[in-house]
Parts: sequence; C-alpha cells; structure tokens
Amino acid sequence: MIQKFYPHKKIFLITNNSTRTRQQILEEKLRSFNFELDIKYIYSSAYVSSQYVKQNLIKDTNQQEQSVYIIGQNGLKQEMKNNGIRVINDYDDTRDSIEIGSDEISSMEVDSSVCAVIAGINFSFTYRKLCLASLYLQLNNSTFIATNSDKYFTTQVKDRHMPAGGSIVNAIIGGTLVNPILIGKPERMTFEIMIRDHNLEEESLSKFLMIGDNLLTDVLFGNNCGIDTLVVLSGNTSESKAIDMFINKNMSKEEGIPTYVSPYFGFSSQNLS
Amino acid sequence: MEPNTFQLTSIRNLAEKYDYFCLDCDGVIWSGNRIIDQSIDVINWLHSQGKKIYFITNSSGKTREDYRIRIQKMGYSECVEEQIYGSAYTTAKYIKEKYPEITKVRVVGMNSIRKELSAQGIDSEGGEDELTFDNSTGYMSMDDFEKYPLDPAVKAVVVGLDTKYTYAKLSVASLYIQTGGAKFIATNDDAFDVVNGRKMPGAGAMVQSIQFTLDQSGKDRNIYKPEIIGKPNPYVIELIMRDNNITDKTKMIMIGDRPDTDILLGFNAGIDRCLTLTGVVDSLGSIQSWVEKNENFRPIYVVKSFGKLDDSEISQ
Repeated sequence: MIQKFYPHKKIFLITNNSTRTRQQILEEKLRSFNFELDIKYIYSSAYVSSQYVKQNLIKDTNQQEQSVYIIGQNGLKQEMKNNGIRVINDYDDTRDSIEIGSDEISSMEVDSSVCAVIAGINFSFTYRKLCLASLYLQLNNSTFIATNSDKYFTTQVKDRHMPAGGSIVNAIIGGTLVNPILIGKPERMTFEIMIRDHNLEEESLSKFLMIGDNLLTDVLFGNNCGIDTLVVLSGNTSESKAIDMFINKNMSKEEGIPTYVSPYFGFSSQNLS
Repeated sequence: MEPNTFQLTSIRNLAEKYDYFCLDCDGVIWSGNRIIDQSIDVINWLHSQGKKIYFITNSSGKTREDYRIRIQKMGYSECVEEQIYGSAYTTAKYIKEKYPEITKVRVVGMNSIRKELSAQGIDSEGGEDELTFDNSTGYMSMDDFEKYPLDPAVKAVVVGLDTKYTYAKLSVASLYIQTGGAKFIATNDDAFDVVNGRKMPGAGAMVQSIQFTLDQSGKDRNIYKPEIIGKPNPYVIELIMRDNNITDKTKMIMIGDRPDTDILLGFNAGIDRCLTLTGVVDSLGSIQSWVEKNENFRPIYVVKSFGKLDDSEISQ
C-alpha cells in the first residue's frame, strides 16, 4: 500500500532472520501477503553477513581459495553460495553424529581454507558442530561472525520463548571465549552496507525512518544509525510499555528510545497525546 | 610483580607444613591420557607420609567410582572413592543439603551426573537421553516447543558439559527454568578443557547458551544467573572438611594449574594455595598477567611440577 500511495518512497526490509535467502523471503513470505519487492531492497542478516565476508575476508570469489563454516539453516548456506562464497559444509550435516570424542578432536585435520565461522539459529545444532567451530577458530584463527544476537522467538504460548540465534552464538562464545563480529540489528552494519549499495551516502539521515516492533533490535538499531524510529505495538512492545515510555517519560538508552509510536503499521494510526 | 610475593618451593617442602593435600587433576596429575612427570609416585609418597589426599575436579563426566578406578589404574592403588570430589558428586551433595525439597531435576550433561544425583536420592530426567520429535525433520519445531509437556516434579535444571548437546536440549532446559520456575544450577562454567594441545568446549557453552536465552527485557538480568557449584565456589572445600572431620584450615593446601579456578578456590575458601607450572600457566613470567586481572589469582607458593618431589629450582 505504501508503494501505491507513495511511489517515490524507498522501502527497505531489514530483518535479523538468518534462515532464508533474500529470494526465499520474497517468495515464501512477502508474496504470500501480496507484497512485491525487488530483492535488492531486502537486507536479511544472512545476506548482510555474506556481504561482510565478501568485502572483508575473501580476496577473490572467483578463486574460491577461501571458504566458510556455517552453523545455521540451509538458507544461510544458500545465501553464501548465491554470493560466490564457498561453504565448506555444503552438505546435509544433520546426518552427522551429534557427539565427537577427544581423540577425534586431537587428531582432526581441519581445512585451512576456512576463514570464517558464521553462526545463526540452527535447529539441528549439536556438540559436534560446536567443536568444529572451535577447531576452526583456534587452528585457523578464523573470524567468528554472528548473524544476530536475538535471544528468543515468541511463540503462540505466553511465557514460552524459544531460543533464537543469539543462544547458538553464545554456546560458541561460552565454549571458546572468542567474541564474534555482530551483523544484525541493533548493530549499524546493515545500514552502512545498505546506503552504500543504494548510493544514499549523501542523503540526510533525517529522511530515514526505521519501523519495528522490538525496542532492543529495531529501535536501538535506529538509534545507533542516528535515524528516527517508529515503534509499532502489534508485536513485541505492549501498549502499557508505550504508555510508560511516552506518557511517564520512562525511556532508557540501553532499551532504545523511539521517536514515534503507533498501534500498528498502517494508515489509521492514532495520537497518544 | 614484586619479587618474592610468592614462594618457589617443592612438594617435599610443602609436606613439612601441610597434612591435607587438595589436588586439581587435569594439568597437575595428568594431561589427557598422559601422566605428568612422576605425579603418581609423588601421590604414593604423600600417602606413605600419612598425608590425606583429595582430588578436586570440575569435570562432571565421571562418577567418584569412575575416577577411583582410573586413579588406581594409574598406580595409586590405595585410592578410595571418598577421596574424590568431582563436580557431579559435589553438585549432587549441594542440592541434597541446600534444597532438600528437590526430588527431581532435569540434567543437561552426562549420565554420571544422573548417577551421582541418584546416589543422593534425587531422581532425574535428561542426561544422555536423546530428544526426538515426530515431524518431518526429527528436530524440535515451534509446535513441539509450544506443546512440550513439562514434568511438574522437576524443580531444578542441573547443567554440566554435555557432549551430546543439541538445540532441543537447550530449549527444554530453558523452558523448565523460564516457564516451569526450576532453579538453574551448574556443575561448573569452564569454557574449555585442553586435550593434547587443543581446546575442547566445556560446560561454559551449555551454561552461557541457556542463560543468554533466559535474559529477558523488562526483568532483572540477575534472576536467571545460575548457581555454579564447582571451582572457584568454596563449597567443595567446606564439604571435604565436613566429610573428613577436618577442623584446621591452616593444615590444608590446594594445588592446581589454573589461577582463576584452583587458586581462586583456595582464596575463597581461606586455605593456602600453590600453583604448578604444568598446565595453563607454564612459566613464572606468565603469572603476572593473571594477577593483573584479579589479585586473588595470586598463589602463595609455586612449584615447577607437582610430579617432581624435590625440584625447587625454577628458571625465570
């Protein structure tokens, strides 16, 4: 609808989801809601991670001399491949053994081409994968990249929160003491890559608006980028929280300070004054 | 570091002052499968001198009996179970003493933890049992998570190194704590063990992954901090003293290779502590960087190797 009424506005989709390629987001999510968007406007954490790797770690994607080790769903592996990055575990590793013995760890030869370990949510995560990540980090000095640090997914059952990508990342941090490069919101990196891709570096920041439902990812992301934010109350942030922030003026930098609030992302937003 | 802020010494010298020797295992007595120097001979000598020896390890993957058998096989034939303080045993005792109302727990870790709990009369689920689901992938889906039946009898989640860790185990553990109100208890929080020169992820991976997902906005960060029972928690020393009717702390010495667990344990427990240069710290010069992180990591004594009875000559 936005595109229909405001065709000159640019819309970018910024999601921490690391399980899908941009193409899959378009085909499996957006189109099911009749939302058509050129994939060049989709900034998912898997895509941004691939750009970070390409720009900072890979000398020449044509040579395929370097590779990455992925702990994540197939969409993350595919997005790397879509962007010319060789995935060392480009096979269905869900059939590997869950465990690994100390003898195997001591004697295993690791592929020296692996320059990065990239982690996101992985429903088939195992101790073996954790150990392989640890070996690449300690033997190759590979860069550890976290697609996001989301804590949990909300579910349809109140008070049941399902572990998200950040818990996988913290299993690796907890077992290796190596700190990752953080890609997704609230880090600025996505914004920097996005404005460079679209030649928006000269645009005034005041022309950007970040819209999201999550204070800690979306609003904090906007704050970190120096742009205005709109928090919608249709998801993670409740009306009582909004009242506390805007009416009682209880806002904190750590939580993210929104510029605007709206019940939902649509055309009939009400003022809360 | 000022010179002489710790004393270079030998095991023979320590035996003149101390009667109770609390020994870390990995990096002191053995490294992986290799015995360090003549550490078993030193243990046998201490035993012959009438010294009492206790083995304190943060590893939760073996029961007291497993360790007793292993140490006997290495050559200390007089070893008895009552000398062994692995974190599985220590944690089971802790729960029995501090939370006697707890009758069942969920274990993230090896079955040795379940065995030690059972020996204290505490029932458990989990451990090495796999969690499988009846959907196309076999992995836990959001639907499985929403519907997962929590056992209301489970009042704590006990977390140690789980070499069969999976996403499903992480999810169920967090569910018991956040939704079931279970206590969050860990045998230890060590990031990794070193095996033949390579790091192998430890309980820290399990503990941090569970704790991270629990940390929810709007709630006090600390309400989901785990109780960590292993070193450097001084509980194990308190337990050793009670189990063995030891009343004089000045006669106890803790010997280990890790300033942040072994030496800090000695400090926290108020007993003297000695660093051996056969594990994580391999030279006198390396001690400084540890002490700079935390003054309580400073040992009182240093020996070149626990496995050498008389070598008090240490080159800088």
